[in-house]
Amino acid sequence: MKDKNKEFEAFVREEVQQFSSRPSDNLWDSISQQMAPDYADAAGGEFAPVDGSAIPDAGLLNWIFQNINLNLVGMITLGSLTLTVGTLLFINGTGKASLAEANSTDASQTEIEELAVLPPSALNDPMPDPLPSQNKTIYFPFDSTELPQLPEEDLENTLLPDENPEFLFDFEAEEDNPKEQREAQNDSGENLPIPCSGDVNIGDRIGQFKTELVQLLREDRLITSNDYKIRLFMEETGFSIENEKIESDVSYKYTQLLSKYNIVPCENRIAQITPKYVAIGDLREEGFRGQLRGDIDLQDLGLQDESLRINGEGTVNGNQQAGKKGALILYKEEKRSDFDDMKKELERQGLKVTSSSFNEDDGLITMVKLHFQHPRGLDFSLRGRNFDVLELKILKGDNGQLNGFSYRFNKEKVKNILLTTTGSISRTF
Amino acid sequence: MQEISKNIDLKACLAGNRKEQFRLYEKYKVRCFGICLRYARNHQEAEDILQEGFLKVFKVLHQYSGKGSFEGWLRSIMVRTALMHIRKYRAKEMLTVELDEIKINKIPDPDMIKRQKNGDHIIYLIQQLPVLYQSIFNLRAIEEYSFKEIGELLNMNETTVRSYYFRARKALQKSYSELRIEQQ
Repeated sequence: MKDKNKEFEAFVREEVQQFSSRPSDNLWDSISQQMAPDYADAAGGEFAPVDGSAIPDAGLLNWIFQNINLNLVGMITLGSLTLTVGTLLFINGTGKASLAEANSTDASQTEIEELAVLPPSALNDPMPDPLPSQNKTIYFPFDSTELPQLPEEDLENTLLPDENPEFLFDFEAEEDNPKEQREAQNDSGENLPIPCSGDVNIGDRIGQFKTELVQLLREDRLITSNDYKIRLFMEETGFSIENEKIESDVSYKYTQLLSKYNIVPCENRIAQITPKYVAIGDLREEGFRGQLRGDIDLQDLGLQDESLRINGEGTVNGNQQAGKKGALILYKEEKRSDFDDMKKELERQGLKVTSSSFNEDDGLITMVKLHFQHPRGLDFSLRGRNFDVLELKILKGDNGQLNGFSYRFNKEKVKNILLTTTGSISRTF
Repeated sequence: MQEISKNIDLKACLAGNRKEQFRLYEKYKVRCFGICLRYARNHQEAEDILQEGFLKVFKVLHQYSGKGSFEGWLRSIMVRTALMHIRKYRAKEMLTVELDEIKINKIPDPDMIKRQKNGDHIIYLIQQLPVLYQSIFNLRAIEEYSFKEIGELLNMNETTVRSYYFRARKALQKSYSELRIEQQ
């Protein structure tokens, strides 16, 4: 089977083995300078082998030196002992040493008495706060499920090939910007953004939340027509829409609303609503993460390409749909084996694929067809030609029972197929 | 711990014997440099990664159990060092990924095409990819990691990884074809 993509990958693997570039000759010098010292090198290279014949035998001369040294040690010890005993006898005889001892004791006593002059309460009082201006507690909600990144040193010490560390590309942790760091240090803490501590998920109450939010926004004339599109930033510093802060005299209502739904305001947390959908969640570096309901155009969330950015779980009418999370995805660049894997996974999850076909040309899928059947009546055929991506997702009820599946070609709307559906769909792009 | 060849004794390397460490470096430097070049933007950055990589290798050499290929272990360290380097020094580039189009610059010096081997061209083209595409392409196409493994390694969604990979491969295929036309 012709597979240009596979050939290209193999070609690249082979070619990169044949490159001719080499590192600079002096690179080793830099490496060795940064390594722990080699004691062999420090001694002038390898440890030189010791030549036993070069060492003279221990003869008479050596014996004399050793004995003289021992005698010398003995004499010094005896002299020191004599001198010490003599000094002690002399001091006891004059009595001056006792006077000196008494004076010394008085001096110590004086110091203790002076301390005792302080009021007893002073000893029990707590130490004064050296930084009285920092007595305000800043609370950063922290979700223990989101573990902080390990320090660099720890990573280096635990760098094992078999591990799958999840530390890479943690942009926030690695922003090496001294200016920002200085600013952060100078900040009293009051203006520091509170990081979001977890995902927003209010379950089925999302619809009610939207209704109440729209009501508030209408009351405040922030929604004035039926064709609205609002992105409300719900941050700890306040609420804003399109960089316009909601006045504090009305913002308490929004605070109450969030409180009712246990939504904590934090940095880049938004609620975005149009008549068609509601999205609540966080705008993060990697994309939007949160809860969605309705017919949503992900580009509305500022996401240029949903397949690259979306991380959220989508819900439409209470059913899970073909969102990115948990969806089976087939890109046009993929192979027949990927298609087979998709079928296997569908069957593993309880959906019966009674027949299928797969065509490709020049390493790109040109057509796939899947025919689903189920004893409850499902008899549905799905065919797609020249699509970029096909997503399928199993729909299950709360009890885990199979309800059907959803499919989506490219960025089209998601279609739900229940276990009682009959028919066929054929899409050409 | 084992001898990886008649000339290199890992025990001696571990004990800090500079000569043995140098031999090990000499034996693997070219292959490791190839890895580093693929993750770097240029020769200089690749040397930095190679240096960091070998320092790490000698630091954690005691963790090599002797089971499996030493070269595989070494490669793995180099790859991870390269990723760490990117994370540390090129994090901002990762935030400005062009999603719609990957532009690969042509090789600036036409004589370079004649002088160098195909492997150099490919590496050059890989270096032109935006950093995240570059890393993902390397990990998948060359190191042959699964999408799942790459996702775990880069802390990314598996689907996103796949999408990045296909785009990177497509861009490389296109630019390599163009390069070949220029060569002819």
